[in-house]
Amino acid sequence: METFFDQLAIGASTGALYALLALALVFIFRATDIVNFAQGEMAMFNTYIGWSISRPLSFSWIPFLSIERHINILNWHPEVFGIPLFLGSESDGSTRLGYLLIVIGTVAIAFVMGGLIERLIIRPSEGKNLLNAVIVTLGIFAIVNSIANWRYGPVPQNYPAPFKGNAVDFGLFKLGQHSLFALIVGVAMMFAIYVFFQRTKLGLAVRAAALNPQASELMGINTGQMLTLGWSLAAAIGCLAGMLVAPSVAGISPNLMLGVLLYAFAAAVLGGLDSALGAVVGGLAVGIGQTMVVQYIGSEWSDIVAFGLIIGILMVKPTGIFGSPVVKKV
Amino acid sequence: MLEVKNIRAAYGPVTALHDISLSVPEGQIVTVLGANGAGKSTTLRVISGLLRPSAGTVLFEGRPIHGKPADWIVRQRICHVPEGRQIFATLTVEANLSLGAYTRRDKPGIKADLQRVFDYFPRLAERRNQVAGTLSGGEQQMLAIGRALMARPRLLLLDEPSLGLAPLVVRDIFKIIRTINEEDRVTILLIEQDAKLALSVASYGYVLETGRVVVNEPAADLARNETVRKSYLGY
Amino acid sequence: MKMTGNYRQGIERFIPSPAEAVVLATLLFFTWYLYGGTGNDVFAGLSTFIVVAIAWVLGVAIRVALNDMRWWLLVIALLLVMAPWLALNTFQIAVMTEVLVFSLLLHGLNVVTGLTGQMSLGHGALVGLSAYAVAILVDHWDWPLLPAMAAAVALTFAFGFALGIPALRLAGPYLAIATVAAALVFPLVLKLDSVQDYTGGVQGLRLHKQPQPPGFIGGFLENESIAKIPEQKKFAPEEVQVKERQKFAQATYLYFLCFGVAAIGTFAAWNLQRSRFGRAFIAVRDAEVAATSMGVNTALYKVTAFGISALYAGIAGALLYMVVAFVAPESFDLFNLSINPIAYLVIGGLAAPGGAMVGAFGYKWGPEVIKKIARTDTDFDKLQGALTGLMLIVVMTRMPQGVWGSLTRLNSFSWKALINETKAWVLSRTIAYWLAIALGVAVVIAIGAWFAPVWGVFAAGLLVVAPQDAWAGVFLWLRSLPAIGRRRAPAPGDAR
Ligand SMILES: Nc1ncnc2c1ncn2[C@@H]1O[C@H](COP(=O)(O)OP(=O)(O)OP(=O)(O)O)[C@@H](O)[C@H]1O
Ligand SMILES: [Mg+2]
Repeated sequence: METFFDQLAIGASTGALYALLALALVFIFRATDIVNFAQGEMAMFNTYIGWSISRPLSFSWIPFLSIERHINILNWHPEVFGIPLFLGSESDGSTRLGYLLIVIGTVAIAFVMGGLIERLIIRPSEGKNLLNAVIVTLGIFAIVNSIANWRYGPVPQNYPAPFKGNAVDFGLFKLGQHSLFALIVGVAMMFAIYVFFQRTKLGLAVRAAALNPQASELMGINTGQMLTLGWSLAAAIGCLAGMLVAPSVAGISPNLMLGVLLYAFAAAVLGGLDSALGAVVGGLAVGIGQTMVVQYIGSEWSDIVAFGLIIGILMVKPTGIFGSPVVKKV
Repeated sequence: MLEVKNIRAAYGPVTALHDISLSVPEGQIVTVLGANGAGKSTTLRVISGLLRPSAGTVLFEGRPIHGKPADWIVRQRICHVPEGRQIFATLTVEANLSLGAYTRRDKPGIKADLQRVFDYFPRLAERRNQVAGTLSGGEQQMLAIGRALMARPRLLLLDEPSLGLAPLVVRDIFKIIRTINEEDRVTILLIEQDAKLALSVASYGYVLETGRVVVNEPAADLARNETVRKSYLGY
Repeated sequence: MKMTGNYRQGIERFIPSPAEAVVLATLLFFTWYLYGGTGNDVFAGLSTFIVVAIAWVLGVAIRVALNDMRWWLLVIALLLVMAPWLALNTFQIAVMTEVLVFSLLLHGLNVVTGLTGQMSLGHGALVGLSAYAVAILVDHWDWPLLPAMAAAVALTFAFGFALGIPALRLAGPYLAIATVAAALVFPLVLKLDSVQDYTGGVQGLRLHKQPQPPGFIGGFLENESIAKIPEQKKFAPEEVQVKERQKFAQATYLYFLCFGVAAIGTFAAWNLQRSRFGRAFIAVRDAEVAATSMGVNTALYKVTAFGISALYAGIAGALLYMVVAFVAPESFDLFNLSINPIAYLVIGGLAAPGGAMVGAFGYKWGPEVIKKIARTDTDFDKLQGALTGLMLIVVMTRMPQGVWGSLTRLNSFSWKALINETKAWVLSRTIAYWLAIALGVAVVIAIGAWFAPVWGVFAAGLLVVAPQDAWAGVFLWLRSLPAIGRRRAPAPGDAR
């Protein structure tokens, strides 16, 4: 019985990550009717950017700007809420960015990249035919995947994590520190997203622009900017999910998000492709289901079950649990 | 306040407006009449920036606004209540109204205006947390007008506010239109199928036919005009 | 495909049009590429020159005489027939064979995606299904090859019909997700323990006896093969030479088998598109609801489209197994299952049999060319996916009718117009603009990002191929970049 609750907790933690990526998918689908097949790869690439900036800083190639030297000479150790921004000198005398700075930097880069992709690639292909835009996301998938392979190679790399210690014992179940951290961050993010969309004016405007672009323009909303914002947010959320996934698997590799994307799709389809609540519920259900399948049936079945779930739901109830019905227009 | 001069506009290959000129003086209600497909809605779409004119100018208080994006025009406080309401069906009444005030930053002012809209349309106040798509047609029209008022417009473009409403509701709505005009000093450009009703509130009227202005006269004269009476008033 | 417009008159008719120039340049490149490997530059240069010159004279002469651009098809058909002799070695023949096989798959996908407008991202799995069906029948139940292939095609055809039924319920993106999931589950199922006896697990299955050319044909082909024996094996012992000859004869025989099937398939696809069926498919794509209300049985047509396309995919799969003589789950990764078929169909050109042929050519030869470049930088090989993706995006955003569509349209476009257009555009830019571009190029070269210019040249090449309005599109796009872009609000009535 103990293993059952352990698995339940682990499942909830992975499920939270699936839910995050599924939320990113749902955002983009709601705003543009595009299923973004490149969501996982964008997250993977941004996670790699996080990996690059987590490595020992070396700016020696820029004259007069050797950060490590400055930091060491001044013996400067800035902190935020007790979290160091820079990790102290390592044995080789190098300095690294602290986890907080890595996260902020990476998410910021992801945010900008998401917006750029929307502006430069998605928008020119928009409007003609929805098929075009979906095919374009496949193109982005191919480009990002192969550039990551080319640039970083197929070997998984260690990924920084803030908490790596022993599992925490909650009595009923035990949960690894990183999984616990992922669960907390995941839930916090979902809450933040909820607040953004339900309680802020900007969030309301993003929703309105997705619902009825023309009426939104008449309210003074720049719908183009809202779309870019939607893609940026989706990229940032995906990136955060990627940064939480990487330490909990073997490390970061170009295939990091393939599996996660699959489960996120299963989650989104289960909950309804256009429902944010559905993405969250679906993500948790799929995460827990996956750990159970691995535990009690066999790991080689877990992907097959996920695919089967996607196909089965689409055949029986394409709108998922919470989705709204599809209307065909003349 | 608003000067439209020699506007031409087209939807792809279809030219909808050939040559439209009209002017709306500050503080007045001006109405535009015309048969189906004459180009009334298209004229409003050009003014509110949803459609770019291919020729001509639109001046708002002497400054050109044609070709500017719609959201910029809204920030000049020109509000367009489009044909068919175009409310946000899955959002609540209150969310719809607060989107109307999207361009504004003054919280107390927005709150006061919300109260004012609820005073005009008490039914909206009762249903403030209801999803807008489930409102009745008349309530949706009230919501569309209320939403536009939330931007505190100086010029309000109303496209067929009586579309599909019961006569009693129409009378209410027109009473409110007059109040908005008189008490809040909102200038109104009104499109209406019910020419008699429109001419009763308006001070000036234009008649469009296939993208051209064919008659423009003060409302009182227009109501007496032989051709207008025949083709739009029906007596 | 009568030529439209009278752009070229008098002497200008004898100058290749931009489209013809593109064809000839491609020909030039590939002949050079094919013969470049001999190490005999004089031979390579001469052969290249002769091939291109013949194509030019033949093509322009026929065009001028007939005022028709069907000469392309003739030249292409001729080149395809000659391919085994043009090819330098057996490997190149094998690649060409796969081009033909793959063109069948693209014809099939075209019926579903190009004509009916249903997005299928799972056609690679149908190929795999058919290939595995042949393999299992031959390997496990000792069926002869030909009946096994027929049975596999029939099975895939039936399966395609079955696939069409869920497709009825699913609109656009939902169908894309469902098909991608169905495709990705395929290699996983192959590797399950419970079916390993049949599928051979990760090891895959091997065909031990490929069809042999019958006596007299075999003898003829073996005689023809003498020139194909590589230089270093010319003086090898007799049995090595015999083996080389047999290999050539075998490959050429398989090539012509596939050539026959592909020719029939292409002809059928071409006819299908012009038939009543084809028009009904297009009606389903362009206005499904309207088509339904006009009495078109959209459900029937959708399912039929899936069936036909599965038939093509099944034939492609069976042939693929015959040609490659090997299947394994690794051949069916995401790229081969889902992305590449649709990508190269789109690049080649949707809704045109010629587009499928062009796409198949790019699909098989693109990687080979990249491998050739990669000899100097082995990692470059990994950028194949990026090349595919880049082409896909450029085509989708700039020339949605694909390479084939652009080529056929470009033919009614004269050099003079192109030059005038370009001149007008160049002059309309400010000097500061060109300085900025030059600065950008200088920076790119200076920081040693050598691959960026390569991509740039490649993308620019694609744009040159693109028709007039694509040029205009790029300029508009470039001009719109500095402004914070805006989305054009949809027309009234189509608010979502
Ligand atoms: N989105 C569109 N695409 C193409 N043509 C359009 C579009 N909208 C309107 N038109 C055409 O433009 C012309 C003017 O249309 P408009 O909507 O302005 O008419 P209207 O005077 O408002 O008519 P009604 O009283 O029926 O609302 C019509 O001929 C119409 O067919
Ligand atoms: Mg109208």
